Amino acid sequence: MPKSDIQAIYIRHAVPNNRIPVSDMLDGYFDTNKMAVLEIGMQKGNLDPDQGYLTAKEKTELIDNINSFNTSCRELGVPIIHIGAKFRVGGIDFNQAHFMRTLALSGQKAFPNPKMEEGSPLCEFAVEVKKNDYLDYSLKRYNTFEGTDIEFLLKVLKKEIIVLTGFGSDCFALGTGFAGICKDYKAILAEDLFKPYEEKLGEGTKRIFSLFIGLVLDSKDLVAELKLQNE
Amino acid sequence: MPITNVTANVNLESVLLPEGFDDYLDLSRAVIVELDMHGGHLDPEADCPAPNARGRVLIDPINQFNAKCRELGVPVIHIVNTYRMGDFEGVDSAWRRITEGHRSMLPPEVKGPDCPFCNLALEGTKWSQLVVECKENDYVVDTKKRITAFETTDLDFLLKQLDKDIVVITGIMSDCCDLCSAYYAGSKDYKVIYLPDLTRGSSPQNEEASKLLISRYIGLVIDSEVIVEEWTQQRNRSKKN
Repeated sequence: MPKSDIQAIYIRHAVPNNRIPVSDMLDGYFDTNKMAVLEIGMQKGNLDPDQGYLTAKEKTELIDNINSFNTSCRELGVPIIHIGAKFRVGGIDFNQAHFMRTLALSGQKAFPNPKMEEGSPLCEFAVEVKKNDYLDYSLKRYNTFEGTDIEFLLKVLKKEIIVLTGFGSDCFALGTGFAGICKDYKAILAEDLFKPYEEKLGEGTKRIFSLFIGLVLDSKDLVAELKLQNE
Repeated sequence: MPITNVTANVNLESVLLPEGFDDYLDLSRAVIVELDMHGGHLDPEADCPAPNARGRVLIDPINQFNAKCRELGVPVIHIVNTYRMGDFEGVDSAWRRITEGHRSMLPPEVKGPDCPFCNLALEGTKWSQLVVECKENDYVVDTKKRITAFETTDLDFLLKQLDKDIVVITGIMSDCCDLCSAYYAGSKDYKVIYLPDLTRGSSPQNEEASKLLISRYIGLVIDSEVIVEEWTQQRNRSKKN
């Protein structure tokens, strides 16, 4: 049984606040020994206000909250995998990136920031990176398993549960979450720690994630549950 | 430029497709990827393992659309979920795990009768049989085990052998297998066309969300009659030449 009264988003039936206590059938989602945090897109190129995606306030809030969560995870022995992009200079990584065209058609700025090229300071992670964290700069598409060694890393770390945080839930959390579960990882979306690229797509993202991908949980509730599990 | 006035759904509005998207509309590069139109979701009987009642309205329209595609030379690939007997392949599917887990917390009067998910798509049963027409030159990819059409299947291989890079998605469900397969296809750099009038999801709200997500991050959202008209004119023009 979960050891706290942790609740997940649930929309399939009418329940108070669209939340439901997490069943003991889903205990396997809270094993810190098998858990890793996949934190996606938290680079200066995506977050710095002068790049045009977030305001200074939004950036600070997201970074502070993720830093705090990551600290708690490290204390619980849950590794942090910072996933970002370091695109090849000259744009070749975007030659067949059709999502850039549909974003433009929608009137949206290209995302992730294509200026995050090798050698650019925009590739630096804006969150705290600690000694035993893992860094992966091979992100190319919204499914962050595609073209990267994330799956290899999770296998060698023997992790089966992925906790998703970062920026761009409507693209990265769905693309990565869908792929993760199809590879039979258990997926958790930390709903307060994965900001949508487009705000109005955030609610739809959470609904879909909660129906078909995994648990959508508040990060503070998740940390409280994991601490109790570890006692 | 397109031969016809191709409109796409952008920001939930129908807009004329601007210049620069001709490659999406190329009849010779397109293939239909039709998802999960099999008995395990669409059988009308009470013992249907994972019913999608909203999807039943698609059967005739998809049959008609596929017939037009065959006339135009666009291959049709039917993607089918199939599990080996014994309920060991489907039991760890994420949607099933969380659905059963959450349902266990609901009182009976709220959740209603349980669905026999364990029977979904078992090989050799009607649950893994197509309910749409499957014609002689169609392709069937029947090793789908999870909500993507790509993992555990040879769909990517088949698309390469057919030399097709435009994936046209129909079938069910908009917010589950369709959306997941679309994210996969987009991340593998296929051009994706999503036909909202030939897909259905868990709810109208989530169908709209899927449409918007796909139109942003993945591909073009175009009504089936619009794309068929464009392809027909392309075929007619190439015949004249």
